[in-house]
Amino acid sequence: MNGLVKEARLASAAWECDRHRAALDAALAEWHAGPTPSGAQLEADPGLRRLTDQILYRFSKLQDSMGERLIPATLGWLQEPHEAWPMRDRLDRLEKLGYLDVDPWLQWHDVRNRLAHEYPDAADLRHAAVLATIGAAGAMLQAWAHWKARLPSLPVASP
Amino acid sequence: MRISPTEKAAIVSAAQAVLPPGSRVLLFGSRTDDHLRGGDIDLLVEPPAPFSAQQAVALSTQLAARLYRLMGERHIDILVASADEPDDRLVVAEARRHGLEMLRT
Repeated sequence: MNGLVKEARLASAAWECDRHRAALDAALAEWHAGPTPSGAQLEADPGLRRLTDQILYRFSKLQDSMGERLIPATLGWLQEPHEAWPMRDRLDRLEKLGYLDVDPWLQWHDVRNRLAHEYPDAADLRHAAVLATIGAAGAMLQAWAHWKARLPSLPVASP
Repeated sequence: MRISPTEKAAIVSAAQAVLPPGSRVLLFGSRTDDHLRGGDIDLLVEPPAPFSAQQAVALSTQLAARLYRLMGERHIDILVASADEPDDRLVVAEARRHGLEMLRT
């Protein structure tokens, strides 16, 4: 793959990440504009539930875009022979190169898994899982900003 | 118990690094059945002292991340339930009834 194709692939991945970043940024700003709701308040307020769903959705989408598109595109652009590497080796290499910290990345993976559980018999855990995701979403935005600052000026305009 | 020596060593190492002293870790679910194959790794963690739901989520996330580091990103489900407090979750009751103790920190 030549350099131009690698750069275009990276630009496309970065553009996708930025789309989710913009939506997540706006949703988190709205969330943090008010006091943190209790679990009961969250359950009772359809507007808050929609906002929470938006945050959880964009958190998952940004995680997918970074994991499935940005990681291979960045390693390709860096000319790392990553095609046969398992995910753990890709993460370790990117950590060494200063793009990410692996520990929070792996924690976000667990936070994402936790979202698959509705905890029907534990409202307090349900609420705690939502708050953990919102904290993780903010940290993921910072991680993407750090990553993006290391990339070149890319040919595709950011949204 | 269908846990390889490598997996067991990873669970012991991660639990000792992350969990408070006096915690108990049980394996439950399909991995306790020698007649099955594959399946998630289901762990019940019982810290010795009461904790909040947010502390429970944080603890299980830290433990899972450590396990992903050691074993790769496979499917691991972790429940946290205080040893000294009643817990009416059916899955916790099931894990306590049929789970196999792996270690105490």
